[in-house]
Amino acid sequence: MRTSVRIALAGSALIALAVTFGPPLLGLDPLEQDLPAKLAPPFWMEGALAGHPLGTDQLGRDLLARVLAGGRTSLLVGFAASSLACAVGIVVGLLAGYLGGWVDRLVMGLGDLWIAFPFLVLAIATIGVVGSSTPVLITLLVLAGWVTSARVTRAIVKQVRGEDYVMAAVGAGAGHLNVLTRHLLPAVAGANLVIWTFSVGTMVLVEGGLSFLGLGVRPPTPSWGTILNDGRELLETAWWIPLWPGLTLTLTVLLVNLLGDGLRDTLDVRTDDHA
Amino acid sequence: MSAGRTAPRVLRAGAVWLVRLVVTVLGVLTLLFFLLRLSGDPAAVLVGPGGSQEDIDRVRTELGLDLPLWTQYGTFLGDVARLDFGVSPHTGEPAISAVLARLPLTLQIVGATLALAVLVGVPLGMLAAARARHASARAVTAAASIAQAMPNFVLGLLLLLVFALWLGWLPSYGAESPLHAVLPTLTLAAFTVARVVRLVRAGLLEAIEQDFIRTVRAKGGGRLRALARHALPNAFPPVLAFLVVDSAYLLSSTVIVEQLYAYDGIGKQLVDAIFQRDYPIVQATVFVVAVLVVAVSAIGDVLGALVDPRVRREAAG
Repeated sequence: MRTSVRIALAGSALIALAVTFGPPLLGLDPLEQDLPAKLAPPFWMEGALAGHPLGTDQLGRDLLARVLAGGRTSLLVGFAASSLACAVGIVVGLLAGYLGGWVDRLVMGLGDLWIAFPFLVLAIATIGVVGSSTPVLITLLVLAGWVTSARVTRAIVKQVRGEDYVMAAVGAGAGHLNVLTRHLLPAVAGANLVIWTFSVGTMVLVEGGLSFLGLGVRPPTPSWGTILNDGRELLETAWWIPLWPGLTLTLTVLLVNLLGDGLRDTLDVRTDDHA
Repeated sequence: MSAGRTAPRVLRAGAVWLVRLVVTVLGVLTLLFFLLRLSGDPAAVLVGPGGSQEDIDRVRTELGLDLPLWTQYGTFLGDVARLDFGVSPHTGEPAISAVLARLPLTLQIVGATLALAVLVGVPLGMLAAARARHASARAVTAAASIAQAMPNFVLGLLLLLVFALWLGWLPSYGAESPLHAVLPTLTLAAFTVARVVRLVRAGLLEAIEQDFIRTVRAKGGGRLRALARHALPNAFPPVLAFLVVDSAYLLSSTVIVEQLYAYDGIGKQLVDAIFQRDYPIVQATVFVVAVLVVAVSAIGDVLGALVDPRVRREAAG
């Protein structure tokens, strides 16, 4: 494994551990308000408060606690949405590639239209109508994300279904379900692992964008996007509020992209359909 | 290829795109129509919390919301065909005109972004490939990685803070002058330019390994000349394909970027309309965006045929 991949793997693991176990271990509460301590700057500036190393927001909430807890929300949404999107994509792709015919044409035609549409516009319109909540958010992300996985899965299935080991299994009397799960599923696993990795980064970004607009995760639950949104109005006086979630969000996506690049090279899979 | 066979091909391509346009626009609007009707009572929303039951009933009859859903859907489709999305309850203006009035501001920053992608991204990508082991090329590649990872709302806040609030070089909010478009454009363009840099670099590095480039080099052609004249045309198709897909993504991103800079394009208008429950504006925006996306794909297809050396050679020969 290349050094960059090791760094990416260690870095992503560290972030995941920090946001999962950080708040309980450090005894931090992201929702606790302390109005006298509001808008305290981070530790290196004059006026910093002990116990709030990264500063506080407009309600005196500790930013270290909020960034860790916010990361937990963002990553949970990212993991859940990418896992579900990949699962849907794999099932659809397997069926389209294996069955062929009109199922294949329908699914792929739909995918073509789907992938070309500006997702955020549709998501915002939908959220405006049905309201925002974490389940709605995850559903929308899955709707947006299944296509890449479905297309790549289908392409691989088309390629391997004629190969000897698949034909041998069919000849030996293996049923459809058996062929799909025992022989075709393993063939698409590597490519989907790579797609899943990249997709976690994308999903975290989209969640951040929607929450930033006030259309994603609902306050007071912190997510990196909602903290950025809080910091927007106070940018001039308290620029450190958006600084931390901005840094962690960028770093996370950078590490995840590096990891995806590394996995793609290591597993030697093509994900050209990654649009 | 004879001229006699070109015409039917163009016609057929045109027909395919027309079908695509209709399917896309209709599909998206149908989805939106049923979401709107299923999510609650638009009449109650329009009247507001202070309205009486009589007011709500009156609005419902006026808008035809008391009719069966399928009748409403039929009326809706008829209205769409006449580009009538209703009147914004907040401004009293027809929704489609309100959206079209804001569209130029959005197209301005999206167009500028695409121009930057070609005028800045392609040369930087060439630099990164031509001097692959040099420090400057490494710096460009690293910067591109970061620009690809940094979300536009984070970059936007950073640029706003540094160039508008601290240095005071550029206006922070609004869309009154061309200067107001600078920060939104830079925010929008960072990802696109970075991606083009990486695509051009990857395409050129791949082409350098190929025989025809080795031939040029063996005949005494310089490295840069070999890159620009012979390898670059082969790197264009993926760049173009990316820019077509990215245009849809850029239209999405304008929603965030315009909101951030209070830039009065259709993205900000959409978010404002959502918060004000101004559904005619929401529908008109989705319609305009759907048409734009299909139009950009069509343009991309035509350009794709023009820049691909293999296709062009076939057409010439």
